[in-house]
Amino acid sequence: MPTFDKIPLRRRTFVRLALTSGVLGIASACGQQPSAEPATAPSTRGTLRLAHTLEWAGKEVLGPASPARFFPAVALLYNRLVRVDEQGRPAPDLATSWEADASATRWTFRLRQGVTFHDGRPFTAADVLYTTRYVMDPALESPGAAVLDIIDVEQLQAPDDATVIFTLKQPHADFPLLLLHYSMYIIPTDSGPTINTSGIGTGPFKLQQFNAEGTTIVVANDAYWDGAPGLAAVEMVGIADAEARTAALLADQIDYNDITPETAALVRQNANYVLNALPSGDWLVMVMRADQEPFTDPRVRLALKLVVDRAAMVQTVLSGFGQAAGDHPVWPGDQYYLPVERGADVARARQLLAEAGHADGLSVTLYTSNIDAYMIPMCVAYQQMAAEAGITVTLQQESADGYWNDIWMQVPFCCSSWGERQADQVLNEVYRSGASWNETFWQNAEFDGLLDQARRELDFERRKALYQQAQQLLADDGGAIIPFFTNDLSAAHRRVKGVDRRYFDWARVTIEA
Amino acid sequence: MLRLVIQRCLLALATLLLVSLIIFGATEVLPGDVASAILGREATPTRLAALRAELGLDQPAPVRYFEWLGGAVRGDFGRSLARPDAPVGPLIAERMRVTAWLAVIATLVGVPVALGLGIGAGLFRDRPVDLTISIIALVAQSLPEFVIGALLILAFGITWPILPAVTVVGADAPLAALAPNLILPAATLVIVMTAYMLRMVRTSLIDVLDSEYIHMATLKGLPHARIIAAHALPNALLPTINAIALTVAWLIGGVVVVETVFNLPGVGRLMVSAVEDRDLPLVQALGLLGAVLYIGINLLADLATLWLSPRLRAMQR
Repeated sequence: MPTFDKIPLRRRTFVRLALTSGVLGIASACGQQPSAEPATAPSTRGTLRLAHTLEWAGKEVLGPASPARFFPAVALLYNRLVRVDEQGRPAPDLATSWEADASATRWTFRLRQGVTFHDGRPFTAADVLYTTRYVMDPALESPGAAVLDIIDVEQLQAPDDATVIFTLKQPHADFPLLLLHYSMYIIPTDSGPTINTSGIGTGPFKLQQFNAEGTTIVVANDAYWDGAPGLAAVEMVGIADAEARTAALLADQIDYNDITPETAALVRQNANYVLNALPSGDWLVMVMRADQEPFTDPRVRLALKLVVDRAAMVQTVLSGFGQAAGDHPVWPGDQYYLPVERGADVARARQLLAEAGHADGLSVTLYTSNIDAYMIPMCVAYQQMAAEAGITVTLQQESADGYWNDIWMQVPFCCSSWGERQADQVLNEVYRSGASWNETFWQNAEFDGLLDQARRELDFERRKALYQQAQQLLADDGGAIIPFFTNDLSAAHRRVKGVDRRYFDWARVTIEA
Repeated sequence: MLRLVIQRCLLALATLLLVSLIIFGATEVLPGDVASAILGREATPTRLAALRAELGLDQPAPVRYFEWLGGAVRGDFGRSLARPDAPVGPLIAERMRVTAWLAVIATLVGVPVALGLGIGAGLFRDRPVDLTISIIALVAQSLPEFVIGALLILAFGITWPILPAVTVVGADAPLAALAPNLILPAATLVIVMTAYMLRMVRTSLIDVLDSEYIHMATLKGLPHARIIAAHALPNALLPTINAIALTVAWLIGGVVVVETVFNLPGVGRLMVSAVEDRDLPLVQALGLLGAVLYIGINLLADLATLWLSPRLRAMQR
């Protein structure tokens, strides 16, 4: 059994959960039939070349359950039981339909029939049971284990080859969303010890060559259950330096790549390339500890939120590549998103501060670091905006080394950044009383109650209302100043088609010769 | 003479020991300790304690230093933290092949070019040839490697795409596949190092040409070519040996930037990723390797100068 305890956990990758991790198809309702037609005739299919960032510096593995998973290939090699649709709802992938019992604790999934793994073995319920047990094995230390902890492993059942029953320890009306976690890409039975190098899944591409620091090649799996892919192969080249990746793109050594906001202008000027700035749920936050002065007073917390001109922040800090946020972490692409319109209201901020006994102004120290490229610019912009309400913000820049250990969740006021998560997960993981990542130390029984109620509520509209009440409560009373969500920036040669949506399907991507 | 050589070697060893102490000390004083740096947001007291024990961080620093040094002397630099299955030695060896090719090409091209241009500039002092060479050299010298690299990529990778802009093959690629990727990085290094070396050669040659024994030779009526070849050049080039050695040693640092810009899988890029990963055994081994090369090259240059220059030998006897 491989262990990952020696592997440095790159936080950014680690916190980025299932929703961002890849093949997020465009399926619509439950039970939808896959489109069987390949986008292009196999003979004319091209090869797509892309760069990967070597974020794990060459120790990437093909096993999807590891935080060091080889990010670009996972989505090509494997499938999950569910994918997410454009509205942020779970849609069929390897499972074709699912239903819960009245208590939302017993979930029955029907599996797609006739699917085979790359090595020819048929995909059955046994593989789902194996993958689930494998991910939840404490020895693996997969980040997925904590998210899937709600599953009672002892009670996992497969009444037949095409059916899996999950029994939960507590009710969870959105259990299928948890199966979007990146660790839940299905691997064949007993493949745990070899999956890190074999890469055998059910996905649209199969492994030909794996070399994280050099070139990794996957080729079309023409037996793919959702129709032969539109590309003959995908080559992934390891290029650690962001500028070198842009150079490779402009020199036509690669066709498609994530880019930085700084190089976005270069790509935009070039008619051969298409810049895709796709809204994402990644966010930055200024964290007020609700258990420490002066932030124990909810009026102070609200005042500090009201000084932010969010539209201006998106323009100045993100060069326009982002969306304004309203002090809660549920992003606009989520099915439960509550729009909170929050413009700068300096007068009301002053009034709240006066009521809280800070009529003569307030001085706070905001700890920050260059751990994220946007973090310091955000703080500088905040400092200016807060000054207008008589709040003196002193910026204290700390080394990125040790920031998560020595500053974050230690000092009263600091910065943090997170990857996109779906509503239920982020609200529970970061804002519930006593959660280990509750960075604001905000404790609110009403909020916790709303989350519990929502998990028991099987009616979608009523559940949505509960989650939205929780978001409003957090936005008004919580300790998080969340000014914006960032964009995912990528650039593609204009030959490449099908990568211009956030949830694109790799099987349907094509490239002209 | 032998005494002098032994003395120099011992001095080099002492320097190396001091450097090893500094490398070890520097990795000790990083903010937080290694275990907390590795775990980041995932740090819980139990996991921290477990990782510290695993990394041997629960031992006192002097004990760890001597264990590390003992291993290093035997060629055992430990295991990479980031790649649990990889001993540090072979990992560096694979990458060293790429860097060695880069350094050898850059040196073989750069040194003759620098000598030629430097001598030319020195001989035609203050004439158009000298002015042109000197101005270009000054410009080249004042541009950082990454700017020159970016300009070369722009010119020969993107605008006029005759060479790969960045390397897209791995460290294990055969030389034939690697070779085209080495041209632009080597050119970058050549431009920067040539500029420095040729200015040293030029200055040194001008100094010698101004000296009394050259005036004497001229007054004696010796042919100009003979004065230059037999009297001026040997004396002018001696001090440049050290300049060349320093430049070649500079390559060790220069490759870090150049390999990153061109995505070349050599030791420079390995160093960058080792630092990013807090892969301390790898950082320490690479640091020590750099020091050994630096000190070794300078030692060789010193010995070469001693051997070539009777005057210096005599003075130091």
